[in-house]
Amino acid sequence: MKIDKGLIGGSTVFLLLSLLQETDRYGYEIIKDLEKRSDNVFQFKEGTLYPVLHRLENIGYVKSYMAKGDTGKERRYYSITKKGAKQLVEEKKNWELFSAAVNKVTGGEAHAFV
Amino acid sequence: MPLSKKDNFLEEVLSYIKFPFDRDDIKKELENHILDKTEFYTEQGYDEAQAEELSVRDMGDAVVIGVELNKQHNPIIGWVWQITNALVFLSVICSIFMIALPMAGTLFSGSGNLVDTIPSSNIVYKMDVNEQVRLDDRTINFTHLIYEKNKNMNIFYEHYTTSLRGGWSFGTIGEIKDNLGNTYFVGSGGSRGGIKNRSIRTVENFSEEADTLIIDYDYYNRSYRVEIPLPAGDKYEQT
Amino acid sequence: MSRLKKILRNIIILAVIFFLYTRLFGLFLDPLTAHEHSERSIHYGPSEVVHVEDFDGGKYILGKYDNWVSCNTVHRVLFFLWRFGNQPIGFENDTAKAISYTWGTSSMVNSNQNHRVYGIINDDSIKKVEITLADGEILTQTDFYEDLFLITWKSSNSNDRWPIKIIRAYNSGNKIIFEEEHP
Repeated sequence: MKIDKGLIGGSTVFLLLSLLQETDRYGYEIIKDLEKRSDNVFQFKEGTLYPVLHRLENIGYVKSYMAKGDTGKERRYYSITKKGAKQLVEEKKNWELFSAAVNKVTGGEAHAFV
Repeated sequence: MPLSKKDNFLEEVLSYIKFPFDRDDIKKELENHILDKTEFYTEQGYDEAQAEELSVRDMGDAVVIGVELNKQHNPIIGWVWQITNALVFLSVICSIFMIALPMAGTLFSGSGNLVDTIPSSNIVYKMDVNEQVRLDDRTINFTHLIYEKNKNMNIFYEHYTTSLRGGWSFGTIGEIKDNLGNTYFVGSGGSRGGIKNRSIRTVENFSEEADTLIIDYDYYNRSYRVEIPLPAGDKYEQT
Repeated sequence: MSRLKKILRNIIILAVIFFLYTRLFGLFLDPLTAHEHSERSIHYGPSEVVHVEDFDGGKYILGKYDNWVSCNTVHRVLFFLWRFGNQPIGFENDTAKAISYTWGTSSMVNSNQNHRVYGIINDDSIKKVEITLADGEILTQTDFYEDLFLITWKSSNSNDRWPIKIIRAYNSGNKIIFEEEHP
């Protein structure tokens, strides 16, 4: 099942920062991990990841550097910064508030306009 | 040979990147991604051409990607950054040649003492002096006197100014007199630069009988008077 | 560091280097500061600035210090910086003379010489000072700067002798109080 791009749009930063906090990754790895971990729920146009990553770097949430991977190929890796880690905490809080609110609205007692 | 799908895609994306210095990095990053995906598809059994086509398709719309990437690579910021980098680089290079090297040179010019320029065979006596005076921002320290057999009196002093700017060279140290009422004309002088400037002034025909050297500065409401007792009458050899 | 931060860092570095360069080359951000430093560095003054006047590439600074009168110059460099001009030390006022004066010249890059004659008026009945130049031209001044006068002009001859032939001072009745020739 594919999620409408708009829905993950708001949480993209949260997802990316969360992945990068675990370990530094390069673009292709990030896409692979997003697909794998979400059981393919999160799939989107792969090239559109890069404007987001570059934006995060401009803001200062991530830093990039060139490094050789296992295969010996040199790639641009991204790592989370202190500022990014702080933002991640913020994003997590917001996500918990948001998802709790959704649950509250959609679950529990019956409502007037059923 | 026509451009491959990959190259077409990359060219299209890059055409939206207005700041030229970032194009190379962006190209490499996207290209590597496409190559990785292509490898993924070939492992699944597709042939090269199909794998590449699928990978490029998976990347998405080149226009959208190009436009969005360009927003993150603002050309104005980019150019200002490059220009200020270049200016910093140039001025650091200039500074090394115009400031640091000459300064290092003069800091070490202290070696080769002015005092040692007088051959000891000419010396009647040599005295250490420690008299300090101030004129505005300048501190002047009279350090040595050397009296020669030919009756030259050499006055050694150093001076520095607390004002960090270049300014006029320090001129006269004052009138040179002795306790017998003679006033002497300053014959020659010299100095070695540096943060502490070392200088010498020589007066000729200085009286052998004088027992005090007087340096009397009085110009434009600034004055000092330094009196240095001399070993008159004690003619001794400098060891 | 983001690019904006790098730009800011670069600007700070450039400002520091600029500051060092102005110190090294004796450059100042305004003409009067250059003038004050010029005086202090040569152990003269500080003079009371009575009048400032522009000339080709610089400014004349007419001033008094104790019984000395000076007309210092500062030169403009690179559009907005200033450096020392000639030695700023003034001449001593000869109070016995009705006017005590001297002359000066600043030559800039082109062959034009900027001449000045300036001094102090000791006899306050004097209302007009007039000079005759080598080529016969006559310049006068009646509006003095306190008791100082300054007459300036440009010419293309360059010799070290007095650039004026005659100086005259008149009182309110246009009678000559003082006259001196410099052949």
